[in-house]
Amino acid sequence: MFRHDPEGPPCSNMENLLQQVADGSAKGLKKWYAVAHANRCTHCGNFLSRMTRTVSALRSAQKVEDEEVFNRLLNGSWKTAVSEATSDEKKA
Amino acid sequence: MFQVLGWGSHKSKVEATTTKKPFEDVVKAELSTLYRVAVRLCRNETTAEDLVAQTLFLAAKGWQAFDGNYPRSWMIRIMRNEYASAHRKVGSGPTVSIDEVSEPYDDLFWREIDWNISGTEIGRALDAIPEENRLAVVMCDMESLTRDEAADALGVPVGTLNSRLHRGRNMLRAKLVAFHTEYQEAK
Repeated sequence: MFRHDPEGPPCSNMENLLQQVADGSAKGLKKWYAVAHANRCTHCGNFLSRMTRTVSALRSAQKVEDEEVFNRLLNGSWKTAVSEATSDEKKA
Repeated sequence: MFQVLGWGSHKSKVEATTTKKPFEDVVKAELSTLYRVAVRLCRNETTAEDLVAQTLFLAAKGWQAFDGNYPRSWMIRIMRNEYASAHRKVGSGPTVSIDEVSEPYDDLFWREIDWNISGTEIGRALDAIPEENRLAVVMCDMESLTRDEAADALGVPVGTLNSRLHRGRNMLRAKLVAFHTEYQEAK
């Protein structure tokens, strides 16, 4: 069934497939089927286009890295645990 | 001949699964991912740093017993368990009802902005969705973990992870639209 009125939720049987197309995990026939449906069904077409933009925004979101925090973490108390484990191993 | 080839390939598989990197190398490789997931989990950078420090300590202690496969999901699983146990002591944080996140169909938003939402807004929207969905979205869409790795880290089947991820994206989308509407009204 294809829906042509402008707004509404995607077809319930298509939603999972459309999510997979949006994140690139759908391949081959699955992808073709979902895209072909979305081209004819306004609700699913809108859903696919918005979901693709949401996923792409998430992927390109800035990844904030804090050098100071990383240095503190890299020299944290876990190092003691590692050296204790190594010395236990040597004793054994 | 066949047997020799067969044995050889089996041996290389065994070697591949038993090769384990030194813990220090794994920490260096995974630290930024662990920290970012922790920030999204705690919604607070100071708490996130403490959580990662505690995770690394526990992981270092357990490293010898670990088989070396999927260290990233193993460490995230430790982190999540640690967070859950600390959270149980403190009490549960704010929750979001599914009713609050039904998508407002504001198509103008999608036409006008041509996707220039900042990382801060995405972070704000992520913080506003429930933890299980937030973690699924962060691990699969932001940190590029495979579905298997993410499911392993969360200790759930892949099907459950998929439904949490899909629901999380829907909620996130609704939150972004709501933020945009707020912003327009404030202008």
